[in-house]
Amino acid sequence: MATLFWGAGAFLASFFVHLAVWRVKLPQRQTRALLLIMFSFLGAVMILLQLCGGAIAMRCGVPIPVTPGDYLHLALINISLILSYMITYSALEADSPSLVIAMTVADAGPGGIAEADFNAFVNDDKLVKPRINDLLLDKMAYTAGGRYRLTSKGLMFARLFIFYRALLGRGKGG
Amino acid sequence: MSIISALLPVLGLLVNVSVQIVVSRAGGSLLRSVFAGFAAGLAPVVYFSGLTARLPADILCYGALGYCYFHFINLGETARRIRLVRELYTSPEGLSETEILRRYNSRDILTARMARLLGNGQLILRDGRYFTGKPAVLLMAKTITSLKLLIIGKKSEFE
Repeated sequence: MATLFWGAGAFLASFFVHLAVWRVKLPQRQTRALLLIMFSFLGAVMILLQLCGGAIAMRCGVPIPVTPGDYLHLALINISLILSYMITYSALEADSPSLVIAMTVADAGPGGIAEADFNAFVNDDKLVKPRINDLLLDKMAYTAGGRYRLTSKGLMFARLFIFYRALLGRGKGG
Repeated sequence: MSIISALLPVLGLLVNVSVQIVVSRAGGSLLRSVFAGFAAGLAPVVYFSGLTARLPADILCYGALGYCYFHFINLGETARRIRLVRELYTSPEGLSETEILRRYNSRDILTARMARLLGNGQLILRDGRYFTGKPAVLLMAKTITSLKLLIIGKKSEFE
């Protein structure tokens, strides 16, 4: 129970701090800022529990982790929640074409929508070019002489997904 | 709690991944393989946790790891960034923007998504017009839009 309390508690506290920071100013590299905030909280909670866990348990009556296994469990709970949130957050940063299509059809009402009407939002400027810019921003690609090339980080990502798609017996995707 | 026992959700994830790969390679649909993997990984987590106070924590942790794995697979299936990275990977000399758009463009994206949404009944095509079918994707879209408003303060990246 102690690991759930502290692991999920640290995540919730860091989530509210992230909300407050985002209200003040949206960071340019949002994923990096999120990771920094959330992992700092995990580190701070682990240090706090190590230094004054006993006193917290005595004064507040809350359970505290005791063994190295407890601390590992706490960290695992916290990290799994952070990763889940990070992956959900990536869906918030960029508009998903499938979700935009679903909303557009629903907004059209009972008369439905003709395929030609999708052209208003389906174009390369909205669906592809921002994602190319994301590759530059995330340092997965760079430009030289008007051509885009992968950085070592981009190469690593490409190899990982090519390997995994082959392992699953799937095609190119996208 | 021992260190080995703390790693139970990771063991569940390993079972999940193994079963998902086997089912996917056996020709099952991607979604079915994900469900099969998740259920298979959940079984040892529940069994070894037992009906103890740690069960909710293990289920939460395993659920979160399973959710991450599902999205990792989904990234390879649908993410535009990953597709772009793959296109660049096959061209070591690099690609200009025009060349990228020739290989992967908004028309491809729309065609693939329409096929998926029509295929799983989320959209219905009748007399050349699209209508909402099953509500799952629409519900997800509404949830994501609400979260965007709450967290980022806008409905779309283009606002």
